[in-house]
Amino acid sequence: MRPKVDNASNNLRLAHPLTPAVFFILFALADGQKHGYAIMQQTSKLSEGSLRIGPGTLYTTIQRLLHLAAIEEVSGSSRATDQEARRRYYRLTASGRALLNAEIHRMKLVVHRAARMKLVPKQAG
Amino acid sequence: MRSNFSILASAYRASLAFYPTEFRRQYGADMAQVFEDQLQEEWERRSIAGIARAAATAAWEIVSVALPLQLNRRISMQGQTPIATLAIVLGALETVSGIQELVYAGIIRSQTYPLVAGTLGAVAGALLLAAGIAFLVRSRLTGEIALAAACVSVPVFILIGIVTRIAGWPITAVGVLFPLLLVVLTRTQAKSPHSTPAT
Repeated sequence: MRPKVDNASNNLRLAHPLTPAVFFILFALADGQKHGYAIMQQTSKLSEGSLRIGPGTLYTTIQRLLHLAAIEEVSGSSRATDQEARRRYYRLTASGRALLNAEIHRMKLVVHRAARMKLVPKQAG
Repeated sequence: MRSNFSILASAYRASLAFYPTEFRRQYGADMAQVFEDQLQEEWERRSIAGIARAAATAAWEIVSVALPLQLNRRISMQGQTPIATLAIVLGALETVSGIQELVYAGIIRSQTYPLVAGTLGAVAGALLLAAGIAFLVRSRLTGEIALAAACVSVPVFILIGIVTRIAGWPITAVGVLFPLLLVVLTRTQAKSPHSTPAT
């Protein structure tokens, strides 16, 4: 069933701040479409190993993001191998990218405010 | 060498039965594939700890993901009113019986135990009643009120257990467990696919 875009937009507006799983899955998809395991590997890499999600968390979050129309499924018919073609690939939608950008912007503001309050040590160089 | 961890992979596929049928139909095969990919990668690294971690995470997800999903599905299917209504009825009964014990035995007969147990019971009942109403109106405070009801119910549970020598425990256990159920349900609601990812 296709999600209603109006509802999805409404939900997206209410979606900040994002949970770590949602944020890193969107982040993992920022550089292109990926299948489930590739998303899992990328989230672990991007979070420097601090976020290790299992298949259950991965697919419940994917389901939620599909419902919010933040990501979409991509057909795997043009994949190189049979195994790759059988996998489901996902990519960010324009809404998903906007959600990710808004979250990064929110984080930047928090870091900036923290720096102004001298809570963050200044970076060398 | 997938045969090296085929038992784990089979166990994982079997554990998918804990997930709701619809979710399992939609994502079960992908989840099993991802789990096997994880095991394969850890096997190639010769990392027994990695295999154990993947298996432990998958096992923990039965509790942290599958069961809340099941609960949420049941709530969505049956509507949330029966649970909230039951909380309201149980809360009202507990409040009335607490007040009755407090007034007749505690105040009129000046007995210490009914005075304490009755007061605590009435407060716990009122909190459970409030939690039921809060749950119905989807108040953000539902979890906190239900948790408070459970916390107040614990001394009632212990008191009644001591005085009635265990016989009172099964009944008062409801006073502790039911609010905790409400806390779980509230958290489950927050994690539902229909809520925002912020939760």
